[in-house]
Amino acid sequence: MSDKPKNPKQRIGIFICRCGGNISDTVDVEHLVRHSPDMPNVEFAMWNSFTCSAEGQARIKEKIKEHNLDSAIIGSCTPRQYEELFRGTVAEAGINPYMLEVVNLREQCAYPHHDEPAKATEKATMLVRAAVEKARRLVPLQIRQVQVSRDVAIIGAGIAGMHAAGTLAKLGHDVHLVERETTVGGNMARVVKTFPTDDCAMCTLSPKMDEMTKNKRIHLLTNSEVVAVKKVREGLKVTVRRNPRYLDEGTCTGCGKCTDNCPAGLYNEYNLGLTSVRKAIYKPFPAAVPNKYILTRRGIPPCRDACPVHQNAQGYVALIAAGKFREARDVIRRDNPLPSVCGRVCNHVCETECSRSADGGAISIRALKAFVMAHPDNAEERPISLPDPKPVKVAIVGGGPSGLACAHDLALHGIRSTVFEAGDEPGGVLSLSLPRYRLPREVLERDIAYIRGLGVEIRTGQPVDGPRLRSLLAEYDAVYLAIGLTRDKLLRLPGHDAEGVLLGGAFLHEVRHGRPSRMGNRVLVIGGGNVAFDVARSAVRLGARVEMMCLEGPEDMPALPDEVREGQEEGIVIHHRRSPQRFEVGGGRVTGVATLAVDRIETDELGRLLPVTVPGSEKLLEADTVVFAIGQGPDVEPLKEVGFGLNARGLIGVTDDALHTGVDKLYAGGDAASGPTTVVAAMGMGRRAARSIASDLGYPIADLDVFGPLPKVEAADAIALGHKAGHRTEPRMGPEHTPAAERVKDFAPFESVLDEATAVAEAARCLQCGGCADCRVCDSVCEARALRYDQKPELIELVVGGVIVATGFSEYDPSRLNYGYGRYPNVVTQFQLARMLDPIGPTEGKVVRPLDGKVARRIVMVQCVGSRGDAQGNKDMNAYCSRVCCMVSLKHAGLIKKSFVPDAQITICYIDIRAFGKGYEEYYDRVKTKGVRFLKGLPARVRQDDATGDLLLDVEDQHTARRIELRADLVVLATATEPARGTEDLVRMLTVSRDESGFIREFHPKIRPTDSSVKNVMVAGCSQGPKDITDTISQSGSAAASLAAYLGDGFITLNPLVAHVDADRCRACGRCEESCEFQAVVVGPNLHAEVEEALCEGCGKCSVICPTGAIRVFGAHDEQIEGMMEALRTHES
Amino acid sequence: MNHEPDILGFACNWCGYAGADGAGQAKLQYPTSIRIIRVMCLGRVDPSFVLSAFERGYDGVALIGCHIGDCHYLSGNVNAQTVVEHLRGILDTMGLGRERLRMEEVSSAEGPRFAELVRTFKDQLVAMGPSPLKKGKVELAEEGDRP
Amino acid sequence: MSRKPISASDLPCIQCNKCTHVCPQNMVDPAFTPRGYLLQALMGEGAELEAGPEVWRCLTCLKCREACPSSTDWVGLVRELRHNAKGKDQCFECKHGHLVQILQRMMANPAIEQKRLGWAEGLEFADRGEWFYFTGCLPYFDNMFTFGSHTSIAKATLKLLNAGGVVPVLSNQERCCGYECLWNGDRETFSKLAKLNIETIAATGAKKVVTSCAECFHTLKADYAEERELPFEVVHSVTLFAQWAREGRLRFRKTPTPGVTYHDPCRLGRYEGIYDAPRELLKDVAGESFKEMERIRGDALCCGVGNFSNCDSNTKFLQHDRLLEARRTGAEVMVTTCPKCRIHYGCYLDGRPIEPVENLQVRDITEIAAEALEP
Repeated sequence: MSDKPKNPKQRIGIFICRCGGNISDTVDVEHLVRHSPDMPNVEFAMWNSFTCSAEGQARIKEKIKEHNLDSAIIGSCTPRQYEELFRGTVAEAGINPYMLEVVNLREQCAYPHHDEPAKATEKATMLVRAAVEKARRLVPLQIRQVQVSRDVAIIGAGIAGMHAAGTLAKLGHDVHLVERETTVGGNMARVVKTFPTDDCAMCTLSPKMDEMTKNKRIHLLTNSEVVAVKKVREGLKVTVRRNPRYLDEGTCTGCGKCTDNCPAGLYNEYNLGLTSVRKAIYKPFPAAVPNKYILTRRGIPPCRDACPVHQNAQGYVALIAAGKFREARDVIRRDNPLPSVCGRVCNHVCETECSRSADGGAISIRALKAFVMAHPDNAEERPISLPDPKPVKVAIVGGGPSGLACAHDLALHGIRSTVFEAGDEPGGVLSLSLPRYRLPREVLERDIAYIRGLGVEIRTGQPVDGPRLRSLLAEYDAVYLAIGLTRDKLLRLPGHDAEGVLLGGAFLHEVRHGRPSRMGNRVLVIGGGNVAFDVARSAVRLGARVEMMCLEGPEDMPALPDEVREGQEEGIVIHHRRSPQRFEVGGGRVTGVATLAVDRIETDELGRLLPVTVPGSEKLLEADTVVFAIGQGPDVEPLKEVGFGLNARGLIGVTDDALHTGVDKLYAGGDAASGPTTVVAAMGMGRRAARSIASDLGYPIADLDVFGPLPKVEAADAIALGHKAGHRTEPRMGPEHTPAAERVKDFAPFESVLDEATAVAEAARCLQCGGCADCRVCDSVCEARALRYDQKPELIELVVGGVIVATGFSEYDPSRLNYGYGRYPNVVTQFQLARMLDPIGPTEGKVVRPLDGKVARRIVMVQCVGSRGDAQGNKDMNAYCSRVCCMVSLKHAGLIKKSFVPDAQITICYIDIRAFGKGYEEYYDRVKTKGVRFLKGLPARVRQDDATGDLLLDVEDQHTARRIELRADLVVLATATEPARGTEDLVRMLTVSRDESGFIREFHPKIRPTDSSVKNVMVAGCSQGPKDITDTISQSGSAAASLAAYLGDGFITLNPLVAHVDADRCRACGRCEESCEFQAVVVGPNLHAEVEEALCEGCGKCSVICPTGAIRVFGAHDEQIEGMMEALRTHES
Repeated sequence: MNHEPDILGFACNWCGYAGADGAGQAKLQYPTSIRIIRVMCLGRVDPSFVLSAFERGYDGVALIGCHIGDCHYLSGNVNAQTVVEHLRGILDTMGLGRERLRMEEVSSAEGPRFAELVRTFKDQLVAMGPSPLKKGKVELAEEGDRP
Repeated sequence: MSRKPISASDLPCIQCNKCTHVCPQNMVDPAFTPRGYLLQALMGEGAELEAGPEVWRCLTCLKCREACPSSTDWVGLVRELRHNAKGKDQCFECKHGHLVQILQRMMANPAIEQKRLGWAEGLEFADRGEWFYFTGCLPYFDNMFTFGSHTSIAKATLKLLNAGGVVPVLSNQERCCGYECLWNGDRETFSKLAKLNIETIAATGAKKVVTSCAECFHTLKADYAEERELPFEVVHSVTLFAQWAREGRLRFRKTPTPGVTYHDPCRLGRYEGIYDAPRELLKDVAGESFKEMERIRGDALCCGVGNFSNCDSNTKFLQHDRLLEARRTGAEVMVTTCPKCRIHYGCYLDGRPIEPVENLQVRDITEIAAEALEP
């Protein structure tokens, strides 16, 4: 490390300041001046009386010129005071301003050592010599300017953000105003009146709000969040995520028709609940800016998420609640090709998943669907207009749910198809196997008719064998094989060929035309699935005595719980865990089944059941008719020759999710490919087949992607929000069932269709989990056609010169305290009370008990809820005072007495009343005169008298030390002001520091209250600390001015004392880049570090971490510091 | 022999150095033993500076900067802490003793704290006796009075 | 190498350019040419050479002498020139803020009373005896480099010595060997350190000095010997342990995985010609999983840093090149016998690589030997 000075010809001048005795009374200035010339490279030395005076500086300049000096040392007061001034001085004399070294002879020598002048002089000499040694190693530096962006970003459009935005726009800056909410205005838009003048808040606020859209220099981004901040040469690159409104802001006229027609009522954030509900598509309040609506979409509702056809249950349930039955039908039809059928026989996983399951019982979704389809309004449906037919045709083999669903979806998209049904009527399993009591013929016919109405040709009595399938493949552009499961399985046990041993499938076919000929009076059904129950319950209806046996126990038998329950109601006896061994035969006819108890059931690799029986547990079950209902397989034998594969379970093998079979143009689905499932699952596959076929044929079906990245809604959240929106835990209302004794007499359907009143009431229980119900009624009523249901978040990058953080505050959540908030409806916060006082608020300006809406006459206000926790010895509270709560309570108390409930008895429980601002004390006095009672002391807790809903409080009056019992209609909590949620992340992105309370730390609490620790980030309003509107405005003005001053004309003079890199020495190890807090150092593409001077703060961490000495900081080079060290130690003289 | 220790101080511009100014403005008296080099941040103090100082015969070195959390450059003083920890390890191994290296948090408002730390540090170093690497005065004193 | 000043006339250079051809510095910086500099010297321009940075950029790895048909001592000249330059305060910047050099200058002061044995707590050592274990800078490195432990090498060595039935002398009076000062032209400090160390060792009555560092080894063996006649012999631990293993005095259980390869340090290899001992020992310890790199023994590539000076992007390329070479053998551990080599490669692996060198460690032979020691 070279200690060698840069330039042996250097000419240094030393100027010592007496500072009018401050220095010279202690330090022997003459001695200094006398000895300085002995020091290397020192050409000249002198003293001044007042170096900082114009005259003192003039002499310095004169001497610099006279002695042709190239460097200067000024011994005076601390460099923190006049270094900048002196740099100017020497510059004017033609010396590079960074060839100056200032010696701190006053604060750090004369002052602290004036008791020992000799030593002080000795130290002064050292200090001067050190300065010389440093000066000998100084290098001239260029003062550079960079151009930064003059745009600014303001985060948060509350009163602070808006005021700053307006100010900066007037100063000629382009302002990007980023607001998380859907409107500007922030919390002030909620407060109704402002102290100390009781002005109408909205009246003073709305002109400012309008300005945010009217001023051409303000670029407003509502419903948007900052997601990333990067330091760049131009300042900061702020990445904003603009969340979708699901409508086009440019197109929306703000007319409000959508809201009027929206069926989904949700929690009203603006009114802070209070049982007021707002629509899923809404505007927070009339004066909202911009005057645009927004659709609230929380996620995929559990019901829809669970459904194989993604039936939008929330959508039609919401519409039923709103009495819009036609619209409900349209919503159902959007995803469901067989709605009437599903209304009766669907296994309704939607209900299993329904959030209400944990809150009074699932919504009766299936029954509601049946209700809608059966409603007179929907008696005749006018055919919907179809797109132009495409020049392709599709054959569908199998007229069951899967085939029909496929045909339906193809038809909707203009692809004609022909359905080939082997049976004598369309519907496959629906018509052939499902007993009428489950699915009345007319219900099925209704759906079939609709599908035919779409131009689908359904040919019955058309069994398809191999040759036929090949000709179909030749004749049609695609063939969908959905032949279902039609081959009954049977166990070839001894005696199975006896008279009276029947097969379930065949049995059910016969049942359609009356009593099967070979059926006796004592029927035993083997099997525990839904088909087994269809057989058994049909047999019951035919007057037989029916028993069932199955391998499984009650808990794990495959049939739906409803089936089992209803079957048992109808007198069916079920023998669980029995395995048939042989048939007892007498006179050629079966007389019973010998069975063994099942110990456990094992399954083989193909999933087949292998019962393990208990030896010696034989038991005879008597019967004259035994029906096998142990499952069915696809009848593929005649088709095999076409060459599609079969999987191990003997099902048609599909090669991918698109249901290809490996045979060209041939697709397969439904139970024949998936094994036994449900009607709706089969339909799901049919719809998938339709999409696969359509896209292979070149006419892809684009389903509207409504949810995009949104997750499934969690039941717990849905319930919480629902209750905030006024929902209560109410029991489920379902359809009625004919008593078993009655219904077994015939095949008539035994489940009633809901009556309208019940249906609407039941539908109203829906919590609207997804927010928007995706019913798209708004689209149908929007004349401007503004809605964009598939809108996605967009990322916007702003390059700005600086940022103002004005993210405001959130209310402290008092539910963690024992004031009963969240438990007792009549406990509210001051903010909620403010909403009540709003003539357009939830209570239209009435002060009421939320519990029963009665006017509240006895009101108790509690102060410092969440503030001044130390004073209350409560760790759950903030230590600080929130400053505004006292005035807010005074204001509300005064207003209520004045104009709302003049006879109200108001008590304010407080620790101290802090009326700190101009005119506030007087305001306090005025309120006192209005007969408001002030009680020094806070309640320990709040209890509710459940009989009356009154609230009871004990307070100790600290003046009289008496315990006072209070009974109140309404308890109002003055909650603390906390940093807005999300402040933490923002702070991290901006690398500004926070104080212990989480508010943004100002650079200096007194003299730089609106600067942050980062030079181009300012802070305004409550994000810096609790304050009232007045202070917020003045502070945001200050923030705006500081930022404008910093940006100036866009040219920033850089501090030259920054890091610089010697590329040859750099080994690009990246340690500097990692160590830099300001992203000023990056290892560039050509493998050495590079410094962005505009970002470097000159701290020097990088040069310490650098192993090779490649990165160094001007003004703090190693050799400069080493040189000073050497000079500052005691030398033998 | 009561030796006069040499103390080298590295003070950060924003806190330590300002604190020292504050002490001076308040006319608080403290020994001349301390000689301060102003750095923008303690994060700039290279381990080699400190060792080099001891090599040159300083009896003690003090790093005087912002309170943790108040660093003008966010984490400079935290880095300095790590550096100091390693240096103390070296000083122990070298037999000089970790006590000769101090790191102090002095805000711009804490002039008295600064003056106090200089006094106590000096007393401590006097008690410890001169650094074995001490050059100058000590040897001189042994040779007799200085001119 | 003789102490008498090397002058151009001593240089039998025939300008064949073989030196430049094999020079690693030249590999990455074609402008660096020992032959050229030798020519300058031959033409009596040693002074200019002295003033320039070139003499400080030589890695002194001695590859040139391996190749030189006339055994011209370019490296010796470099050392000479550096010494002269230093006298004229023309030292090229040393790395880590010349921390190592400062430490050695401090230790050169007789008044220093170190406490350098903290690492040896709980291990067996003596303050008098036949054997002296010379630990060098290891006790300081743990506080100088943020990555890896370095006293682990000393611990491993001591463990192996004890296992071999030797309880060596450890001394608080020991100083760093002074290698860095010597090769940075600071012969004054070096001589002080040499004097102090020789006296210290002699005072313990030790006759055999073991070092676990290639540079300490060469410095004591060759450069101290130039200062004065040594009352003891110097041996590198690896030679000793290889021999002990041969004699069955040390037994290792073979730990075949992961694969290991060996990097020859300049001072142990080209300077002292010790190539076989480390390989024998490795085979004993790692068995079949020991794989050779392409450039080995006299042809081995330098770690890229000499005497904590000249470290830059060239260094980085050399290190990258060598580490990839090691990785190509399939080895996951590159073993060396020089703590400095390990530090410099460790620095590469700790920092941002040119391109990632996946799962490769650099370790000292004593560490893996100690781990493989049979209980």
